[in-house]
Amino acid sequence: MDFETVFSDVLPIPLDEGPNPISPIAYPAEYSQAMDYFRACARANEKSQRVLDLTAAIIELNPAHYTVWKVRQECLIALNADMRQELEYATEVGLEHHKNYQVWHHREVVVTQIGYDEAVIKKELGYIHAQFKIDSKNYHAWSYRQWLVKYFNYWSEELKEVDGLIELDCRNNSAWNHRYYYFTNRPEGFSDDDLKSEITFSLAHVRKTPNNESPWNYLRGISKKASPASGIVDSLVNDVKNLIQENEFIVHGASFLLDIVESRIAQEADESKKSVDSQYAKKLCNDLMKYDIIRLKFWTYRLSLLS
Amino acid sequence: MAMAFYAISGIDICGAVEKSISEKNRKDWIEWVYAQQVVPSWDVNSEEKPDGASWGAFGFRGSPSSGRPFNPNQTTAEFWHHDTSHMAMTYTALLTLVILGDDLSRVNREAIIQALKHCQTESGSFIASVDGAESDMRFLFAACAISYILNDFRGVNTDRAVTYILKSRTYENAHGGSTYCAVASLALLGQLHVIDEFRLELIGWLLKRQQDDGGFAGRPGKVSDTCYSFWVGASLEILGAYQFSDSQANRKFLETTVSSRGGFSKHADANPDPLHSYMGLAGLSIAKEPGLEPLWPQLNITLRALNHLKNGTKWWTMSQ
Repeated sequence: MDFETVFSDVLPIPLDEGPNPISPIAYPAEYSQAMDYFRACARANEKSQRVLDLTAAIIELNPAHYTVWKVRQECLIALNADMRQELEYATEVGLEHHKNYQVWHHREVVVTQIGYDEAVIKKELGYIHAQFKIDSKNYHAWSYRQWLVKYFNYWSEELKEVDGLIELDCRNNSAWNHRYYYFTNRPEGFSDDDLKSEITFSLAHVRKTPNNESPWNYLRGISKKASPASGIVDSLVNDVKNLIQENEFIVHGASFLLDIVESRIAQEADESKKSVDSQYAKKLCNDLMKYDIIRLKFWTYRLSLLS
Repeated sequence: MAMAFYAISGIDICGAVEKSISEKNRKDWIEWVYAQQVVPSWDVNSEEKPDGASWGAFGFRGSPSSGRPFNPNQTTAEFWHHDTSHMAMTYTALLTLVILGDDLSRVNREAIIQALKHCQTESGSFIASVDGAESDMRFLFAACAISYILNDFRGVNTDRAVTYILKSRTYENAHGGSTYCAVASLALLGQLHVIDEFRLELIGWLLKRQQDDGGFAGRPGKVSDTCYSFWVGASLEILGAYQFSDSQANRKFLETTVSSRGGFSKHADANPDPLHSYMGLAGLSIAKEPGLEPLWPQLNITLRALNHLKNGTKWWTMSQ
């Protein structure tokens, strides 16, 4: 972009760092010149095609300048620009800068402008999927996905997506997290039957990779959704107890059981049941002290709480 | 501004503010920070807000990028489009001023508090800036920290903030960084008791971030990263549970991320950067490394600086 020609009627505003700045930055000449014109246009609140083009030129040099993105959004709205085409642009930038907060937020702004359009939503889900191929734990991509499906109440592809990602990498904690997000946010809710089949699903994973923390944490979360009268938690406790006995010691399993058994003790009225649980909890603490050395002090503390 | 904070607070943790920052630099840098204050076009203490003006913009910018002429002493200024503050920059600017020994007397507290009110969303979180409506736990924390530093919580609706924090809790705590922001916010708001019910479980989750190599990871299934020695360590310290972690093992991990060029990197084989250098020091300080100034993790400044905040700045020493 030939700034001097395009903005010949604009008086550029230079950066004034003062006499002795704390951390002066040596900006490249092209960036400085673009920013000098940008400042002048922002100051005049100009919303035009040439400012839109200027923002793209600056974003190419520095995609993290949030004011530049904001001005871009204002120009797009003022010019009544094609927002679907803008998503293409955001994709181009986003595929180069996977973890840039601004470009992810920009998508949200643009998609909100478009409003509900199933084709757009599907395309967005496809874009996120492409990002997962690059990094399936990208926090920004997951946050955006959660926002998108909730905002448009569009849940039909979620289970398939997380199934696929967990299949690919059962240690993908973000995918497990999203599984929980799906069940606890979709309008249908989470029935005891859903819970039972999710427990089966998690236990199958736990059997395959006992030291994988993610399915254990997932079990921890979903088990809290059980209705007290259903007996689901008691039967889960038994399943996990057996699993621990069959295997070599499983730290995550024992720590999961300890939390559940402790809360059962707190709620139990029957003294003899309480005492059985209490003995078991102490045994778990002792085992954890033996096998999970790095947290020795914590398990010692937990044991002290039981006496 | 954030870079300046990492550098200067890092120097402070090393106990070297007086030794390594000359009196001239100290004074000039205070002026530079003040020159980044976004001030209203009217006197907020004695005049009504003019029609068309908005409260949201006030606080500190990250840099002089809007093109305002350098002026550390102005109390009002003509309105400029897109010359706005940013929540994280206001937070780091105020801390930088405190560390440099300023008394905060040139901070326009009323304008900032009103801006905070304006930036809290219905759900209870805060937007980062009126120019870019990202909102999440980071900016809620910044709002709490700003309110604490200015000794004035009128800008934060505590009930809404607490509701947002509790709602954001997933079945696990998802991310070490956002967990720090949540826990520190509750501590600054004096609302830590709202997590009593799951406090022990949260402590357990945080402790499990410590990996076999001694370092802390941000989420299950991720590798250790220097900065989580602070995010996770500080969360544990605020919850009174840091002593349950293995700080010797963590120290050994941090030693592997020290760069031969100075500073810390994210992992042993990465390049050092200001954020990780600062977070490495902060993590060691929480572990009570000899020779380092102790840290107050709620605000992420040294006890030395906290003492100055409470005894040497205007908003804590004036009679309210």
